Amino acid sequence: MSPSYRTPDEVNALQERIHFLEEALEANAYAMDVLASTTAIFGDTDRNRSPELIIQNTIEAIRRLLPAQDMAVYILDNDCSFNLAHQEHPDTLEPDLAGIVEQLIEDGQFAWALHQNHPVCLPSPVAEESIMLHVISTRTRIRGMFVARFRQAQLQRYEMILSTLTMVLFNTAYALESADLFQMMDRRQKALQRITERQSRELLHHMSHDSLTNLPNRMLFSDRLSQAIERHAGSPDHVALILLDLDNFKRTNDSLGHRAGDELIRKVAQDLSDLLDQARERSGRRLRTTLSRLGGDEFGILVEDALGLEGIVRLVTDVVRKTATERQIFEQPVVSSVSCGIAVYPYDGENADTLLGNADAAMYEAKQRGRNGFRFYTQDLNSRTFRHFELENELGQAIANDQLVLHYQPKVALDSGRILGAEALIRWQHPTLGLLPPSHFIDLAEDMTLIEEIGEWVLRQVCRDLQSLRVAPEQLPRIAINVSARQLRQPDLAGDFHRIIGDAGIPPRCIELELTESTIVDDPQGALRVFQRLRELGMSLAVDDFGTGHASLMQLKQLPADTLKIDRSFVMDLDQGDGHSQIVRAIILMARTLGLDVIAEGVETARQAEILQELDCHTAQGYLYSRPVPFGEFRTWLRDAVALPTATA
Amino acid sequence: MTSIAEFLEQDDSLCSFSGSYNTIFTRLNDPTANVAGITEAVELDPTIAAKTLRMANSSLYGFPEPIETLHRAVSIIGLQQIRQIVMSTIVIQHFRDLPVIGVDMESFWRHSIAVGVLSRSIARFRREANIERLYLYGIMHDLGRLLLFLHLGQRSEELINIREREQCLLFEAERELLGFDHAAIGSALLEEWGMTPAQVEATRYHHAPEQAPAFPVETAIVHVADSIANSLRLGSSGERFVPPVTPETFDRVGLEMPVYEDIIGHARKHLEQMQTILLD
Repeated sequence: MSPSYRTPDEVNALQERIHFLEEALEANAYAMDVLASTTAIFGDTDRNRSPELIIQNTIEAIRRLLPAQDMAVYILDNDCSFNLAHQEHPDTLEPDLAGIVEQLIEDGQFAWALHQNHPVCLPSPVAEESIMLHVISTRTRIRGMFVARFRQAQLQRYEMILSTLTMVLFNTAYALESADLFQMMDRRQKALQRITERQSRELLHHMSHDSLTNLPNRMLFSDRLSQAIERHAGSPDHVALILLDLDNFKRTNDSLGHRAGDELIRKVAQDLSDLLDQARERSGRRLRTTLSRLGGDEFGILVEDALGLEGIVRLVTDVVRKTATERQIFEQPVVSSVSCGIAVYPYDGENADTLLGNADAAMYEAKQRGRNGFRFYTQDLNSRTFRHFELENELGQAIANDQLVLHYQPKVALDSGRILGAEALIRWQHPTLGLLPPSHFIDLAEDMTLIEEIGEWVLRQVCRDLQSLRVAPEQLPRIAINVSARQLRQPDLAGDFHRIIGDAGIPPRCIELELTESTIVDDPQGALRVFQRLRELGMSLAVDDFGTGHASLMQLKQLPADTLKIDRSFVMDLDQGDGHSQIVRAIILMARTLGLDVIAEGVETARQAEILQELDCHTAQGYLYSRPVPFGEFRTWLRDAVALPTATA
Repeated sequence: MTSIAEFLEQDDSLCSFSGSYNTIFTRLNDPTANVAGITEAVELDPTIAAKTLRMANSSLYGFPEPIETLHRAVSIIGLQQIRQIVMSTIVIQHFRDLPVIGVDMESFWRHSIAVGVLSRSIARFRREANIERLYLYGIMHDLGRLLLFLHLGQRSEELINIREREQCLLFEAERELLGFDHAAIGSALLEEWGMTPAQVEATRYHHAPEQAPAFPVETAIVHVADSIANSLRLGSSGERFVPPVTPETFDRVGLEMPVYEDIIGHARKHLEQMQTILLD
């Protein structure tokens, strides 16, 4: 083969070509480097997930590939319109790239370029310049458009690396898509989290509450019970557990159907809930209660704090009484009573299970005893608290049922045996226990705040009795009635009394009010105030049980009293020897000095009467003369002006 | 009896272009060519220049404004893309007037153009960057068959007889008669011309895409497009049956089945116009 010779032109052309190819090789190698670095574009971490950052990374990569005069990125938004997201050199070249793109959009060339998956070069309005468009799209979705302007002369050099541009923009499209998907995933995840949280709350509620009544169920109730026990361990407070069962619920269920049974349960639950709310209000919110439906027709009430057994009994009685009522269930009257069993921590158990078991046993007993009632697990509590409570309950009804009566014990002149007046003493004619003296119920009445009512009743009754004597006012005897410490605190005791007496037309001097010495000592200011007022109104006043209450001389001096009543304990001892009379003597002397009358109470023997007379006391009351008697008898004595037997008689 | 080399050597005029075609071809393959250079080259042959401009203005490209000059057409369609368009135009122009016994030349080219447009359409739906590449592969995939019939002359009947007797695909008959088929001849020709390895391989294995070693996707696209063109009877290169496509080949292309309806729709829309431009 002979060597071939080339013309100088051919050599030049070859040299040019080699030069071009070397340049292209270099450019391509560089393009590959840039391409390799475009992993930074990916929107796959929190750090690079914002579209702005993705576009910025894209532009940085392209800037290294193509020395364009200007570049811009348009991004497709959710409303399918293209927005300028980035421009390298806005407003530097005339006309501005953004303006050129506007024109391309108008021409439809922009839309056309969207469907070409490679760089397309369109003529620029500026001579010697080209506009390059390249869609930014994934396989399935257009995300935007890359736009650049070049000098035409440079275009050929870029031809070699345009495939790289396609790759970079392809990555950009996927990065945007990935960022979108991550954002969507985030939103979904947050939404899911919210839903999950709500559902777990609901689930927890479902698990811990009864679906019919929406009350805590047995599980939550046991838990609250355990917590209450923990809270009150070692404290003097009581935790009472009341189990409550509807009597004859099965009958309702069987006769009216399960829906009626459910309705009854729902109504009872509502009533119980209201009742406990009221009890809580009354207690000034100190009371803590938890009402639960334990299952079937069984409810549980947990009572904590500040109640004492009395309060618990009162509450449970309320529950028994108020739930045993007639309810309309689907327009059918249904009467349903309840039986309760009560267990009290710590007496009846140290833990929830024991308490529940014992309350259940107590409830069973309540059912055995005829339903519609309650039983304590501890028998002792049953007898004590129940009797007490019953009495309290009955006392509340006593006035209305006309069970209170007054007996009168005459006050007698020691020398003549003449009846000067009487002390009115209250008695309760109890239907089963018989006639009860005040010591059996007055404390209770004070606790129940019935004392005001009873006090008023006594005064009215005295007035009625006096009226029934049918004598001229000046001939009426003076009747003493007892005023308790609690009455003293009534805002306008004097006014109330005055009005009652006035209404009855009884002269005030016929009413003597007796207040014990200890009451005066406990509340000297109150006593003074009331006594002054009553005195002004014309009533007379006596200090009862004198000698036992440690009143100071100053108090006595200030007090506008008329009479001192020597306490029965001193009188009783009078006939036991000389020494015992000294106190009585001193009292009488003091009374005289202060200008007060003296009366002795509890005189039982003639000897006592004798000594009293010797000591300058002239009035007395006691069994020696008469026990307290019904008004009829007293009236007869008065009418007949009977002289009761005296010591000297 | 004859080897592929002999086929290629028998008539030099068939295997190389003459005159302006040759110059254009050479210039197109010059990597240093710029827009002005390519435009100049295409303008060397008025027919090619006119057809190229008409194609640029066809619905296939759908450019919103009329493209007045070839220069603009080249810059808009892109240097890479215009190369393949011009080449396929030249190939059609070059071969269509050859006297080939046993081949309905009109039908042959309609088939080839259909495979070209379908391949391009598949690539488009795959969102490939240079879809004209696949257009060129499609247009030229059956060139081997033209050579084969040209050289067999009267013996072409033997081939048809085998096909009828065996009720087989034509390329199977070719193998039976010659020991190789038109795909082997065509790919050898393209290699001779200095076409890209991807095109050579896509042509070589277009009846056996699973064997393509380096460019299986391109091969699979041409294979699928060929089958679609055959089943739709869009022209014919002598096959009477539709070469079956395996699921693996569809997987290789990577498009969902329903997308093929869009692909076919897209291709049909432009096919007639393309045939008019190229076969006038």
